Amino acid sequence: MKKTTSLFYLLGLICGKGYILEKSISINFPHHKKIVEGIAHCPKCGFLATKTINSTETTLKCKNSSCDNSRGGIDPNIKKKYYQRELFSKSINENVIPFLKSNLEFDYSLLASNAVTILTLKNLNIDTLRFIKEFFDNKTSFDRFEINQNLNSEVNELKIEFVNGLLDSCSYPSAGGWLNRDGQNGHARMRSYFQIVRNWKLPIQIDNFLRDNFNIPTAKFDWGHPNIRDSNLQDYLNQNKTSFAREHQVGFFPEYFKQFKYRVSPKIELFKELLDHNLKVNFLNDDDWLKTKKKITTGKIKPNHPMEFDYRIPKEVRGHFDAEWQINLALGCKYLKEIQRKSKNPEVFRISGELDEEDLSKVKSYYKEISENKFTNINLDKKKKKKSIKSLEKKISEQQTYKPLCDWLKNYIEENLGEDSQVFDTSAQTLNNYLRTNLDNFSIIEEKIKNLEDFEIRPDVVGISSTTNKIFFIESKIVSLGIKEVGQLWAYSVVANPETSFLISTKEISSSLLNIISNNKSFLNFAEDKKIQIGMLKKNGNVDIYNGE
Amino acid sequence: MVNNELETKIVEWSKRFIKKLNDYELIEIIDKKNLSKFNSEILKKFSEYSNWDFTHDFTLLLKKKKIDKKNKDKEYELILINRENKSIGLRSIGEIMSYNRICDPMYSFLVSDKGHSNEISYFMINETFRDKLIKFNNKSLIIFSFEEGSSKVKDNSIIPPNLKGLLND
Repeated sequence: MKKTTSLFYLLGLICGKGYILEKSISINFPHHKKIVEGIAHCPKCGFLATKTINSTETTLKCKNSSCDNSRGGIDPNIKKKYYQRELFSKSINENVIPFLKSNLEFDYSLLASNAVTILTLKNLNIDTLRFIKEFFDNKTSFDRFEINQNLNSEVNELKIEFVNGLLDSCSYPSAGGWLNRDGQNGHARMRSYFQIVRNWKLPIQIDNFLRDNFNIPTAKFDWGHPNIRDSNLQDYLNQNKTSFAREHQVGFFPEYFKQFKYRVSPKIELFKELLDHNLKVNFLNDDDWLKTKKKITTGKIKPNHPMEFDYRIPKEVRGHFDAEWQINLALGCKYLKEIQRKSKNPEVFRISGELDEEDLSKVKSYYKEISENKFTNINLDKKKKKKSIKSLEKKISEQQTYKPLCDWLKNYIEENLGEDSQVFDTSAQTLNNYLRTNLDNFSIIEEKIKNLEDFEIRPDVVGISSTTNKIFFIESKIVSLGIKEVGQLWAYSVVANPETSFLISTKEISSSLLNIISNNKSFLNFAEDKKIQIGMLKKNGNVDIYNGE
Repeated sequence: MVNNELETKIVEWSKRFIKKLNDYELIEIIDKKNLSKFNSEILKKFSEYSNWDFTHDFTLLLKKKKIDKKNKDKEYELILINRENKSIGLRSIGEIMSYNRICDPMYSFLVSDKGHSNEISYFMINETFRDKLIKFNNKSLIIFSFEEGSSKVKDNSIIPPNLKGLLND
C-alpha cells in the first residue's frame, strides 16, 4: 500500500466530514449560506470596516477612531461576494478530484444542493479502502472519527496533506470571526474555524496534533455544551432548549497555517483575505488559548443549566463546566494535563483553575454554591420571546404552495410528455372524489385509478396527462425534507403507482436525506424504475429537482 | 419519557418479547430520540447510523449473547417500534418503512390501539400490495394492537397474519 499525498489528503477530508460505507466513501461539503462575504477595509486608511451588529445602518464604520469614516459612510459593496454552491462544485471538480486522481483510482459522483455538496467515491482499490477503514478504526462516520496516532510518525508532507483535507472539509475562514485586538498597523485579528459536528474527541485531537507536529497554537474553543453556548440560559428560557447542541469550533489564526493549502473555493479566497489582513496588521502575541490564565473567578462561574445532563452530551462531559478549557481537560488535552500535574491538587485545578490551592472541599462547595445561586436568580418563568410578527408574515403556508405547484406541474408535463394536462389541488378531498367531480372524461381514467376508490390517497397536487392519462403526484411541504417526509409520500406512491411522484418543499433538503439518496440509490424507489423526485420550490415558481436523471 | 397508556403497554410488552428471543439480551430502550444524535457507543457501531436522522417512538437495542463469526452474526441488533394513537394509515406505514429501509432492524412494529384504518384494509388483505408496503430486506413490518386494559397482543390484529406465532405470549 503506497502512502501518497492524495491518500492522506483524502484521509483528512474523510476525518472532517466523511462517511465510510461498505464499498464507497462520501464527503460532505456544507455551505449553508448562498453567499459569503469577504473583509471590508476602509478606502481611506485601510483599517477594518464593520457594521454594528443588529444596527439599521446601511454603511460601514472604519475601526480607526481617527479616520473620517469612523462614524460610517463606507459602502458595504466593497466586500467581495462569493457564491458558494457554484464555487464549491467548480473547485471540487477542478482542484480536489484531479489531486485525488493523481495517485488514486476511483469513480465519483457529485450531488449538490444550496446547502451542501456531496462527493461520493466508488470503486476505490480494495487495499486503499481497507487502509482507510483501518486508519479510522472501522468507524463509519465523521462524528466518530479520530486522528490515528500512527499519523504522528508519517513524513511531514503526508501530515500536511491530512491537515489540508481537514481544512477543506471542516474549516471555515470567516471575515466575521475576528478577535478584538490591536496590532502594529491596525485592528482586529482574523480567525478561521474548524467546525466539528457531534464529534467530541476530534477538536482536542486537532489541537494537540497541530502542536505536536507543527508547533502551531490554536486560538479558541467553543463547545456545543449548554454551559458554553447558552451560559446565561437565554435560549433555554426562549424555549430553544437544545440550541447548545450545535457544532464545536476550534478557532485558529491564518498566519500559522501558511504551510497548508485549501483546494476548495471560496475557502481559498477567504483564507487569503484573512491571512493578508493579519500579516498587514501584524500582531506580536500568539494569543494561544493554552497560555491564558486558567483561574475561574467568581464572575466567570456559570449558573447551572437544566440541560447539562442532556443525552446529546457524552458521559465524560455531562455535567457542569465554567470554562471551555475545563471541557478540553475532561476530553484529554495532554498539554492541559501537564499543567494540571504541576498543580498542588489536580481536582482543585479541574474545578477552579487554581494551581496553588489545596483544599478541595472548600473549592468544591464554593463553586457549587455560586452556580446554584446564579441559577436561582434567573427567573425561569420569564416571558417567552415574542414571535416577531414580521417573521410570521414572511412564512409561507403549505396551502399557498399549491397554486404555483399546479402551474409548475402543468408545464412539467407539457415539457416532458408533450401533452396538455389537467392539474388539480386535491388537498381538500380524496383524489378519487375530486377526479370524479372535476374531470370531464373520468371514465377514461377510471380504470387506471379504480384501485384507489376508497383509499383516501391525498397527495396535495395531482396531474393527469390528457393523451396518455399518466398520473403525477406532488406532496408539498414547508419544512426541510427528511426521511419522514419521504416515507409519507412513498406509501401513497407504492399504492397508486403514479408516473412520477414529487416531494417538493420551500426549504432545502436535509443533508441527511441528501446523504441517503446519494449512497442508497433505491431509497426513493416506489416501483421498478420509478423513484420519488425531491425538489425545492423557488420564489419564482420554478422547482429545482435534486435527484433528476 | 413514556407518556400514555399505549406507550406503557409497549414497554411492558417489549421486555416480554425480548425475553422470548433466547439469543438476545436487551441493552437499552431508547424512546423518542433522534438516533443520529444519540450518544451511545453501541449505536455508533452500526454503519451509517449517522444518517439515521429521525425520531421515532422506541428503539430497542439488543446484544447477541453468543456470536458465531462463521455465520457472520451481528453482535448488536435493533428493533424499531412506532405507535399511533389513531388508526394506522398509509402515511404511518410509509414513515416507519423509510426508517426500516435505512436501519434494517431485526424486527419492526407499528402499534395502535385502534388497529389499521379502513383506507388500508384492502392493501392488508391483498398480498401483492401488502408485500410492497411492509416488506424490507426479506423481513416484514408487523402491525398489531393490544387488548383493552392489558399489554397482551390482540390475536386478530396482527398483520401479516402468518407472523402471529412470533407474537404469541
